Amino acid sequence: MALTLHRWLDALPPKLRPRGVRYLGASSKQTAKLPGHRIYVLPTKQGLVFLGVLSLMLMGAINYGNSMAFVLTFWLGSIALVSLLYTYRNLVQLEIGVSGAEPCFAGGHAIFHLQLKNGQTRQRFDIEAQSSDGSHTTGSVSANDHTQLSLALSARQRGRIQLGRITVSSRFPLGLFQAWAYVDGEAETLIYPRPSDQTPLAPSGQGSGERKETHEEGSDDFHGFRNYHPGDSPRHINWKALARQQGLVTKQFQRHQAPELWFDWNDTRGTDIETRLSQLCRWLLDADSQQQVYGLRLPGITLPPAQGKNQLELCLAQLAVFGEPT
Amino acid sequence: MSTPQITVLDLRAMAWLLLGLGLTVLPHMFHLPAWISIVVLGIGAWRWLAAKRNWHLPKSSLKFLLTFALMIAIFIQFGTLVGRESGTALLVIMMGLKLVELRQRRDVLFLMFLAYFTLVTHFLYNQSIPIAAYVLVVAWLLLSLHMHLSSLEQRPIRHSLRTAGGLALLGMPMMLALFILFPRIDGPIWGLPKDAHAGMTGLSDSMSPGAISQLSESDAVAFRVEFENAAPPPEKRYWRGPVLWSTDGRNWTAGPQLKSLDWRPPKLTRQDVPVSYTVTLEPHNRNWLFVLDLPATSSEHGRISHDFQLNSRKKVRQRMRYSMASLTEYNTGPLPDLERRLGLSLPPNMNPRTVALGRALRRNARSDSETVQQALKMFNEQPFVYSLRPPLLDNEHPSDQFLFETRTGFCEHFASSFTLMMRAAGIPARVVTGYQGGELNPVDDYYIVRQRDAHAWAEVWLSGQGWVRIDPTAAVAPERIERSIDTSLLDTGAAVRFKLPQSDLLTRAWQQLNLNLDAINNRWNQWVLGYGPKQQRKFLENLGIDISDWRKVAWIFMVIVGGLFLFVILFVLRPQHQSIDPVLRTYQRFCHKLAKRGLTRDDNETAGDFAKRIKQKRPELSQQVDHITTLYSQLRYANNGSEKLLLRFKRQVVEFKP
Repeated sequence: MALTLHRWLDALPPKLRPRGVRYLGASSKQTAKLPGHRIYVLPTKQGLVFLGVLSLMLMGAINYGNSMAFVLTFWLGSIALVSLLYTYRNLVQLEIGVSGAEPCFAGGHAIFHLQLKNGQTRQRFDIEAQSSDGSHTTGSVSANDHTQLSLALSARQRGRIQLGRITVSSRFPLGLFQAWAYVDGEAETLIYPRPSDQTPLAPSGQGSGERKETHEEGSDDFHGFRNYHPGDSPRHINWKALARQQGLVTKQFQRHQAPELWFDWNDTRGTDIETRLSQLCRWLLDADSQQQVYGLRLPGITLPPAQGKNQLELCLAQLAVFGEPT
Repeated sequence: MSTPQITVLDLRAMAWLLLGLGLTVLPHMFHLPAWISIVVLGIGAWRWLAAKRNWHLPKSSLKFLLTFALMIAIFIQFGTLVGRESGTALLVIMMGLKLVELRQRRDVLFLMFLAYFTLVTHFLYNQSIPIAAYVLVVAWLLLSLHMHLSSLEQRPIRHSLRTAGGLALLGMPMMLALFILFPRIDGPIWGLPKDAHAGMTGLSDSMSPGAISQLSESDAVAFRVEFENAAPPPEKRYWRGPVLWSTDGRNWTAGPQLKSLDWRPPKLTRQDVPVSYTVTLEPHNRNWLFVLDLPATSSEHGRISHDFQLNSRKKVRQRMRYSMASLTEYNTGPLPDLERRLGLSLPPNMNPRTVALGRALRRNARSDSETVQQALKMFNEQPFVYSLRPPLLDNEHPSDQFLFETRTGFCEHFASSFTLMMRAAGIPARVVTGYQGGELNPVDDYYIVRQRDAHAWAEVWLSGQGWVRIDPTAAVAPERIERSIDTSLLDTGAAVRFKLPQSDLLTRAWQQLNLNLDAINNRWNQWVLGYGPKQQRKFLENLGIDISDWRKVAWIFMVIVGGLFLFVILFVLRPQHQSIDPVLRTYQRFCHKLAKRGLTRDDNETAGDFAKRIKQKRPELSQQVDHITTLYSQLRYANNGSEKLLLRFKRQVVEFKP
């Protein structure tokens, strides 16, 4: 009884379903293999029209007592019934996993990669995956093979986005029936703040970061002299001075280094948190595109200066989750 | 605003769609008015060019105008929109118009549904084997097209053809069960359009010069007969149809219905044994059923009238089978007064020379039967010609014109003038129409009676003998009674030629083939097309199913159809054969063993990478894992794996215990 009730609950569309009742979970670690009793099949609108056409044909056959009309009607009807089995077969035992997700900026689309795995020697066609926000994607899986589908969920707000409930469905072969199953996609990705388009990174760094020069010994430009320390390269010793009996003096060089940028929460303007994060986001992106070295200072968080894709992702991730209770 | 085309269909799909729809309407082209075919073909050609050159589709106002104009045209052509002819015309035109507004996938699918419905209308005209086969093949094509056009991804049409073929085959058993078991009911539930049964050929209820000769040019089958025992000889195979009593001198009709006179069983003369036979009658949209002269038994299929016609209660609109017993020699006994009056009545002031001839014949003869003989002798000895295309009788005294001027006629001319002469001579006489003869099909041992065997003869009443059949045509052309008319040798005005036994090998082979085909057709008609309420009852009773209890029948229906569906379910969802090769299977077993220890191989991890990862985590397994991975790579990719190597690989995996 409880089992039956559960199955009925399973058939409910997500909107009508009581909270807390879980569907099959699909994540990067675990695939959801659609068992037969989790797949529901109903005629589509087209299927109902087809049924209407068949009824008309049957009425004609009865009225005229026309044997071949009976044959054709019954044949098409039987074919429609068999097509229901094909539709069901197209989904049953299909495995669904999540193979990855790509973060995005607010207002864009977060991409979730679904992995469809077919462990059977029958090809599966026209499998449609639909997320709860209505975005959908289709694909086919060859026998004993897997295929990747990408669902693009629209990301409205900065923060995290869950893949959430996916409806996996198929109308193959004739579109007269639709088979579907619900899967809970256990995956999330980040939504970065939308980059502000008003406050670009100032070339001088004024107001948007600070330039800090380091005086380290390098080998670029001559800078001056200082007393010899053990370990100084003999090539840098001022032999002329030694000859003039001025003692061991080492030539000093200054390395011409790229200025280091610091993006600080306090440098942003605006009353709204999101506006300020947007500004930071814009600076980070600009700095990255100019291949600058930069660090990020947020209240409570400091990311030391670095360069490259990793640094950008690290910084953007901090912006994305900024303000979240830890 | 005209809208640009929305590309729901690529060019190739459009070509397939147009081909499928073309094949769907093709058989209708042969009977619909030519202008409809031209319009539909024109729209199809235009659609193809529009798709190819990316033309804009017409505006909706133009489409509306076109639709309206075509509806009006159909109404003018047929005078209605609901008949069989006008209905199919409308359907075909609608498909053409839908083609014009093909914008979305929905439109395409609507067109497919229209096409399915159009397919079934072919059977209103023709249910022969070739048409049935054609329609089923086109249905398969439409299903493939339907599948092709509703798929979300591009796939070759070949794929859809194959999948639809599978579906179609799997649909067969259930279709058969439904065909046999679905309860059949008698007759139409509601009225059929007036032209539902148009185009059926057969004898009419009246006879005028030229009526039967027209039929005689048709090779269409009128009915088929199986005799229980030996068939009577051809000169006794007269198939009785409408009996005509009343004439205006030119046309013969049945005359007033004599309701008061009921059927009396004909008296047996000598020890004549009734001939038993079963007739499969083609629908002819009339009430009468043809029986061998004269019916000896009553029948459940109809009422036998005083003049020995067997009349069905309903018009014969479907092929019908009935069994009868007849006497070829009989005595009908005394003549009721009413029949005598009718059998002697002559139209006043018509055919004076015929009447005079009849009276003269009687004066010169000693008895009625001698008068009959004299008349037949006259037909035989004087230069009368039996012809399919006799000259027109336009005189106001047609019988006089025939007997004394043209002397060329078909059976109706002879029967008509003979009957008139007999009436003038004071001998009660009437005209009988029907069929005569029939061709034996030795394949299944039955006789085929065709429209060209239509015939008219006379009956006279002689005291002591009752009604006696007299065939004046036999006096002129005795061959007619022996053989069928050879319609292939028809020539205007020429004397009729008869079918002679052929000696030519090729001709005989051709005849044999035709007889075989007719035997197949006959079985098709009886078993498939004739499968109605009666046949169903008989069939189910033979299977031992008691059909009087409808609940039981419903159960059996559900059990059989449901059982078949279960069988199909098991077949469609049968577990798949794992046909992967043993090397891969063994390696999967290896992976499975590791997975149980928490080391799962990723889907896109190579065997080498996987091995490296295991060695990092479980160094103690290094040697075994290396060995297995090497063997696996060798067997799978180096393509030189021997049986021995495979065995070693298998053993290694079996012994592997992580």
